[in-house]
Amino acid sequence: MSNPVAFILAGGVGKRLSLLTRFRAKPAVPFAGRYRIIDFTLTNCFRSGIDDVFILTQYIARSLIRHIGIGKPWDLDRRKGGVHILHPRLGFQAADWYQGTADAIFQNVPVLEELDSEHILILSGDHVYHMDYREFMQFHLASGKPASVAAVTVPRSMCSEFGIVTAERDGTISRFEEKPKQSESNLASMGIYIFEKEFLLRTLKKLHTRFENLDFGRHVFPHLVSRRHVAAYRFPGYWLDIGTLKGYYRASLDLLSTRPRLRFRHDGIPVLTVPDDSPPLVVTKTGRIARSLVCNGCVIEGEVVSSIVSPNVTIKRGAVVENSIIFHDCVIESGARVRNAIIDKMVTVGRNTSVGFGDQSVPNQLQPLYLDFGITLIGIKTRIPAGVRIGTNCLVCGSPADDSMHQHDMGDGESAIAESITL
Amino acid sequence: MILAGGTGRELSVLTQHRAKTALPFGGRYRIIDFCLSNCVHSGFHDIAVLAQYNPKSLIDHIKMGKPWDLDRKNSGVYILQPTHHGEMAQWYLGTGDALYQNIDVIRSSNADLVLVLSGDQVYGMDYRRMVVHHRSMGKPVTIAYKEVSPSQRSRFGMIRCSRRGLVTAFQEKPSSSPFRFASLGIYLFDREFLIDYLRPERVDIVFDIIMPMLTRRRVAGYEFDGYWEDIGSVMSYYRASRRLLRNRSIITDRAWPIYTRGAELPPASFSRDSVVMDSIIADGCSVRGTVRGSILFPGVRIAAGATVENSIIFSFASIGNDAVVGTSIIDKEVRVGAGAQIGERAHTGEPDIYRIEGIHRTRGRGITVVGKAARIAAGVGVPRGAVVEARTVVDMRRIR
Repeated sequence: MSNPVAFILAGGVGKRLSLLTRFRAKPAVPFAGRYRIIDFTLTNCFRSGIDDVFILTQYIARSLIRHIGIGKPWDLDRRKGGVHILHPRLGFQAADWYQGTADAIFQNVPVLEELDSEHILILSGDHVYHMDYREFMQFHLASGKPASVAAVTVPRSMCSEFGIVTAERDGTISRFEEKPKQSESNLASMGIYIFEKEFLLRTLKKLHTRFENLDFGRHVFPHLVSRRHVAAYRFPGYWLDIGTLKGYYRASLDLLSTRPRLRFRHDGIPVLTVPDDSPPLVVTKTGRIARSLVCNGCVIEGEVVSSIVSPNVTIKRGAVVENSIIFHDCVIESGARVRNAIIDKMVTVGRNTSVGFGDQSVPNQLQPLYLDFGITLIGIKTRIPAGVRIGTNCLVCGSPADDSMHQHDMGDGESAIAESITL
Repeated sequence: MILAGGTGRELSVLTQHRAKTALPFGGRYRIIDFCLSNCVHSGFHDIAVLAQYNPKSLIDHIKMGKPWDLDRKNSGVYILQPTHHGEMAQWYLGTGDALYQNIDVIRSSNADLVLVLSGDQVYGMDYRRMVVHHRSMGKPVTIAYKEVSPSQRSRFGMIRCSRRGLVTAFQEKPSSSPFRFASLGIYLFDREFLIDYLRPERVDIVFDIIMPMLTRRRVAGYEFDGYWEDIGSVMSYYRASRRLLRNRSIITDRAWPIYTRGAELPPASFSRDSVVMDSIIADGCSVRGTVRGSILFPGVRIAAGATVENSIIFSFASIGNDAVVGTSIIDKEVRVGAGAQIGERAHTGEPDIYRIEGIHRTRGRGITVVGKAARIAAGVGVPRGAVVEARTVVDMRRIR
């Protein structure tokens, strides 16, 4: 049995993450302080001994590509194999932007055809979980089917957000419904598949003429399930699909609970990411940290409570940060109060400014569907001046040149977005 | 050429299982990281580390030199240990001998200067400035020096420097000295000169190479006034670490970052009841108790109710519930049981812990040192100033 080759779908826009994905692809969104979401999937590839990893990018891939580099942290800097980025391209064989998950694979059929491997593992760059794909592979081989889907049980209330599968006793999937309003089963597809390569090539070539934006969940699996070609592998562990801002915030704060569902080490293997050259964390005589995760390079002179702080953040004397997630290289000036906020990289919060205090029931006016749960989101490189008050469910984003745009207080649900930025 | 062969005997059990240059410092670094980072920031990419004492720890740390970008095609970092050359086979007998035994390495280089460094100092220095000074002085050797207070002078090689920048006298560790400047053990040589001058009998750089040249006025001095700490003894190590809490610039200067081999560890985590202040804490630590005035290396666990004060705790040590650690250096992977007391004053009537093999009383001034992977059982008191050897199991049942 040859090792499968992994294809990681990393091109999604991730619109429901609002400003966090305005300037970066979802897999490159920071998570748990020092990691990016895709680190978990790449670590799983390392764990599972996968030698070839293809990453399909599309939406703003710069920070993602820089993060992955030559794949060194995951031992993917290989002479043979290793990590490859597949970005949509024009070329001799007609190609276009990736129109759907399966279309992205289809447009890379020549890459698949060249591979020696008999099996293709299709992964998503948006998930947080620890999984040994070799166990999934063993299941796949034992099932005798040409395709397998990894699946987890989810609460019934959330079935409408996933592809729901109904599996028979031997694992054969008898039904596959994409985001059903109601369903008998609560077994959700994780968007993680193993295919026999030749079978996948045949299927994609056949289906791509029928569907313009070929998608695994909406087109490929319903087609294959109706022919009883697919088996379901029940994954027993914790799995998180970072879909919405609310989900992101909740999953982050869950890391601070006394028994977090996600561990940073699994089967003796830590989560692997790009090494960080920052000095250790410094807590000064005036600093206080409780119930938090704080990274290297931070200088804590103020108070940090129930928060996650990424590397190289400075929290000045008298500042208080609570129930918040602060990304890399931010400065919270003295006397500032930040509560229930997600603050993207390189943000400055001015002296005595308050962020995130207000009536949580007032949804954001610009993005009421994504931002209605009582946090304020500050976009990358925003500079918030001293002495202002910013309420809850606010969106703020502006480059330093646009300072003048938020010189004044902001009520709950209001937004201040620089003119140059479209949401 | 980085001299990294010292035994570090005055560092007690801290160098029992590691080279002095591989000693952890500053929460996540090893001492040699400072030297290596200075080299790469100064554009030196051809580096030999001359090691002979407990080299494994050093080799594991440096490996191919990747963290310092020294895994290069045509240069990089090499660890040179004493080897057999036909009939000649011996340990490095001294600093000059270490250079002599590797004279072929110096010969095969096409650089025109050789920088000789000590791997056991903590400092940030741009060697390019020293090179510029060396070239302008036109002497075959330049020594870096720094002013030190009179009380410190007996620890160093003290030099006198003339108005024209020449070194005119050198006293090695004098009991007292009228000279203000300490040699930093950083030498820059013209390569051709060094090759000619090295001889089997010139065993020591200071006595056999520098001193004979002084009378011929061939040694220039270069004053360095930045941060510089020599880690010679438990006391100097402890003090340098504690000073780092006041002045962190050596590790926090973003224009001169110190590179090291990083651990793959999650962010430091703090519980609801943790109390942390005036401390440096590396990633992977889990703090549930109280930490004050201390440095915690990666992966240290401080259990609920435990108190750590004015102490330095190396990687992956764990301090049990309600244990107390004060004015101590706790080496890697030490386990301190619940309620144990380390570095507190001994009460009369306590069983005599010094009857356990592997525990010594020191002449030192009250710093308790617990060696690598020692185990201190629950409730045991290790009094102030005691030294516990690596892997010792300290359990009161052994002496009752």
